[in-house]
Amino acid sequence: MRVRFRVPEGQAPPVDVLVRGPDAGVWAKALARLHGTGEVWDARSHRPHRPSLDGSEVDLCVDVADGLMWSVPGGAPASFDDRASFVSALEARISEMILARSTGYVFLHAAGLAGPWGATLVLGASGAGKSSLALAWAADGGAIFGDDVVLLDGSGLVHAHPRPIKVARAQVEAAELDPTTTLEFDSEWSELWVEPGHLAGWADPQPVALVVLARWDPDAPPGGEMIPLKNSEALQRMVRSVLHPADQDPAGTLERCIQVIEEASAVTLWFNTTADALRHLRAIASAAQSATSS
Amino acid sequence: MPPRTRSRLILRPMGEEWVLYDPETRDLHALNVAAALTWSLLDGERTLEEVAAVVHREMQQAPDLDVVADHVRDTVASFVDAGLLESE
Repeated sequence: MRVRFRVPEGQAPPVDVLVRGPDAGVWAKALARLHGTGEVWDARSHRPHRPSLDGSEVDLCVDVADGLMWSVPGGAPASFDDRASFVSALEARISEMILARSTGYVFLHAAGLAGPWGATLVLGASGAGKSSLALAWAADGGAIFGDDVVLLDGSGLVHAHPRPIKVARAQVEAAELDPTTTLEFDSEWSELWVEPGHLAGWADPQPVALVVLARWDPDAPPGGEMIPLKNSEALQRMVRSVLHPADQDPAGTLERCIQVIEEASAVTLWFNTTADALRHLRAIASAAQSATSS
Repeated sequence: MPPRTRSRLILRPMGEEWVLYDPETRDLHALNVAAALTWSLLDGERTLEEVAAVVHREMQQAPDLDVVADHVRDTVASFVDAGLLESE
C-alpha cells in the first residue's frame, strides 16, 4: 500500500510512502491520517488517471512485517521498539520531507489559531503550551492552522499544516473530548492525536493579527497575565521559530517575519491553565472586533 | 584599523527602530536610528571621528559633536562585544 501526502507548493512532487507487511492496509490508513493531505493508494491497482504514482520511486519505505522500521531509498533502515515512538518519528520525517519541498513557504514552529479578527500565532518552546492551547481552541469551536507547525506565505498569510494535535491523554479527557474520536494507534498511549476535523476543522489562510509568546508556568499568577512584547523581541522569537535550516531559508524569510510583526500585536501570555489563556485571547479578540466595528 | 561590519548581516527597518539580523545564527539586534546609521557607515575606511561627523550631520536635533562621538564609540564597542564587526 502507498500513502501520498500533497505538498503545499503547487508544482512540487508529493511525498510518497510505501507501506509493506501483513497489516499494511491498516497501517497505511492510520499513517494517512497523520497529515490532512494524506491519501491511501493501492499500489497494485492500475490508475491510468494518475500514472505518476504507479512505478514512481517512493520517498519512504515503511516495513511492518517484522518489527517496525522505515528506510529512505539508499539509506539504512531505522527500527523502533514501540509504536508510539515509531509513529511520532514517522510523522516528523514526513513533515521534514514536505517542508523540504515547500520552498515558497516559511515553516514556523508555532501553533496557529483562526479567528474573525485574523490569525493568532502562538510561539514558544516545546512545553510552553502551544498544543494545549490549540486543543482548547479547537474544542471551543475554533478552527486552527496547526498545533506545532504553521506555514507563512509570501504575502504574510498563515496557512495550515494539517497535522493532528498531539497532546496528553489527560488533556483530551479534560477537554471532554471522546478519546475514541482520536487517532488511536494504541489505546494504551499516554499521548493522543486529535484531528480538528472532528471539531471546527482546519482554518483557511488568514493574515496574522496577534503574535503570542506562550509561557505555561505552574507559578503563573491566578487568572494568567498578558504582557506586551517589544517588536524586536517578538521578531527574535519568530525568526528563531523558523524550521528551515539556516542556510535553506526561503527567500524573504526575515522580511515576511517583519511584515507580520509590524501588522500584528505581540504579547507574552503567562498562564497556568488553558482556560485562563483562552479568556485572555477572547478578550483581545473582543477588543479587536469592537475596534473594527466602531 | 577603521572598523568594518561583518558581511552577510542584514539591516532592516522595523517601525521606528532597526533590526540587525545574522541569518547564520538567527541572532537579532535591535538598533535605534543613530546606531543603525553608525553601523551602515563602518566600511573599514572611515575613522570613528569621520563616522561621528556624518552621524552628527545626518541626525536631526543631534547633540554636540563631542557627545555624538562618545555615543559612536560606545555603539561601536557594543558592536565589537556582540561580534558584529570583522575581526582583524
